[in-house]
Amino acid sequence: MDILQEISDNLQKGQVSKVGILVKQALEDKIDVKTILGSLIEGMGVVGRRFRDGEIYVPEVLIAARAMYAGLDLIRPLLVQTGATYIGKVVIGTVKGDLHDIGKNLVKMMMEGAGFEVIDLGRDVSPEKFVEAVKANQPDIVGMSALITTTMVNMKDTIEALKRANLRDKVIVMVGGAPVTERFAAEIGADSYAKDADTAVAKAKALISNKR
Amino acid sequence: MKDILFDVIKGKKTKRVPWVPFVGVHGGYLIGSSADEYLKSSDKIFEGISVAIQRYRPDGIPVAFDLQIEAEVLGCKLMWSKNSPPSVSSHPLEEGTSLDSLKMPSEKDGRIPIIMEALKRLKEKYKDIAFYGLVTGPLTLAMHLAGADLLMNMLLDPQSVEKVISFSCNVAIKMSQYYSKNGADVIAIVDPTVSLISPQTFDQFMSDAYTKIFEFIKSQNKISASFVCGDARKVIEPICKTYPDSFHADENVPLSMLRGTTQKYGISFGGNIPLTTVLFSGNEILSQKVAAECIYESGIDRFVLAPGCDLLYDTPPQNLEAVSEVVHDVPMEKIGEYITEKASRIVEEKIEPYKTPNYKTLDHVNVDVITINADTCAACKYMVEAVKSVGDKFMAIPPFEWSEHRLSEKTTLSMIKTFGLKQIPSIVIDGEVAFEGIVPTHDELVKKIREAFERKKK
Repeated sequence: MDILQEISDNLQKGQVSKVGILVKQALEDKIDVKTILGSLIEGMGVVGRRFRDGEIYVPEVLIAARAMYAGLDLIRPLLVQTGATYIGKVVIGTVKGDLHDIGKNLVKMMMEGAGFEVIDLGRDVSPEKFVEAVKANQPDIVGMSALITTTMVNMKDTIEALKRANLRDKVIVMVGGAPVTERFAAEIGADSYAKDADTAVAKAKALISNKR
Repeated sequence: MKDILFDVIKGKKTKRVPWVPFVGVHGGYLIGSSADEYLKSSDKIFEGISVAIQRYRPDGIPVAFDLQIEAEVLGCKLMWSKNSPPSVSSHPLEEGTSLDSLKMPSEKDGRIPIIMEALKRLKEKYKDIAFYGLVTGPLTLAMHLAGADLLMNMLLDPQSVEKVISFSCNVAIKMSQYYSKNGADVIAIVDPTVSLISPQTFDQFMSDAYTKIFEFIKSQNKISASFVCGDARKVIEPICKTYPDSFHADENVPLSMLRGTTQKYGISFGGNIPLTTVLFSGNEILSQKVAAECIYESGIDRFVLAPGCDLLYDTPPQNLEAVSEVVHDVPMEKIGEYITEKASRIVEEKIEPYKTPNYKTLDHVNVDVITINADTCAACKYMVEAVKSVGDKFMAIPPFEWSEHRLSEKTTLSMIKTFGLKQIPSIVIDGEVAFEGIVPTHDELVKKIREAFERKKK
């Protein structure tokens, strides 16, 4: 089997050490680092679609993502050297008062797997922290996550803080999390809502290409 | 009244649906107390739930809604908030504590006595109301103890996960025992995290634990209930196979689906008025309409009306009072009619008609492009670009001005109503709908603008 296909297949199965070995092998075989990245992106894409379609669940995605990082961590320094560019920059975090980060981490992993540069602010992120991060990193997208119904209202506070700092028009605001809905996203003035990590990646790509 | 609730759960016919508002920290809001003060005081819980009972006229109500009580006793650190329940900020098993060293919570540990004291007092005072004791579900507690890696370890190290789940199951049984002893009528296992796992994983790790807990609750002659949150559609059936008496889900699970599955197993079901978009940010009419829709969709057969989950701290009380009116004052046979009446009032109340300019007297043609958002919606972008490009090429003839109106702006809704638009994006030229959903060519657009200009001369 083609080594790139093997990387993708093993990533989907969550085979951490095999992905590491195969990526090293591919590098020794002088396969272009961007092509290797492509195989990781492809594998994670399959994982994302299967998750979206309810064929696999969070535990399976977490394991696949772990395998993805086993490969990505090996090629990241080389990607930087070759001057490979990211398809977009995302600042992401779980909103103030909320310590749940599984959903946010899933989106982060899928975004990184799709070729985005992701700046992860972690959990319990205040509106001020989001604003600072936008100023410092000038991302294309700000992604906010919440699991608790009582904290999702803090998404609105972050959007308001971005407005006050005159940054709202400079970024695309995406929101998600179990209690968040399309309607809620529209009400608080977010640009987009994604119901799962795979949809978040697809929407992020579309929004960025529209913006440019 | 609690008998109506019990009858419905047992499958008996009743005249109306029972109503169980999930008042958690919202009880604090009702008495002007912050969430953290509220959840640490049996006096405040007693007072808050008393006010909720008087204002919302429930048939059943939880004593407290806090899924961190057991975790706190077991060594998880909590981050407290003024307007929501606390969150777990550290996971002892992740930090090196061994499972064997964790002790089963006693009735005197942490905030357990506060909750039980409040329950006893409420039970004594409100004899007609069913009180729900809420127990942290075994998967949620296991994740509090071991962190999110527990999910991954379900595949990588199943034996270690089984041990944590088994411990959490025993904690849930202990808590159920305390609630039972202190007078709870319904004991609910609240496990929002089960929506993260597959039905197979549920069967493998959770099924036995759930069955054991529900069997214990029933052995105490109490009613058992299962509460889930999030998109739990795939685990409804596996949970039903563990036989709780009652099953509640939030708006991610359509009531018709929940009814279909639960009724196959002879289990009552409940839900699912949306917490944020309806009860929190909506008004009384919307709350009543949606509550009536829940009843209409479910019927009175084994259905318990409730919010999707724990009410937000500052949910407007008038919205919950309005729901209570639907439950108590609208006869079942009138529910359909009632929904139609509320829906028509929402349309009338919400959207003001758009004040159109006097197009005849304008010295230019007015082009309104109605969009969702041209920055984010591709079709909207093309619509805007079509108008823009006409402007570039035909600046001189005839003069026109255009603007984009996005759905997020209030006036756009007024325009949609006034112009009678059926599709978005659309182009309205001097108040007349010119293009709906289809991006016009340059020629078509120029023709319409010219026609509008000609109309001004007549």
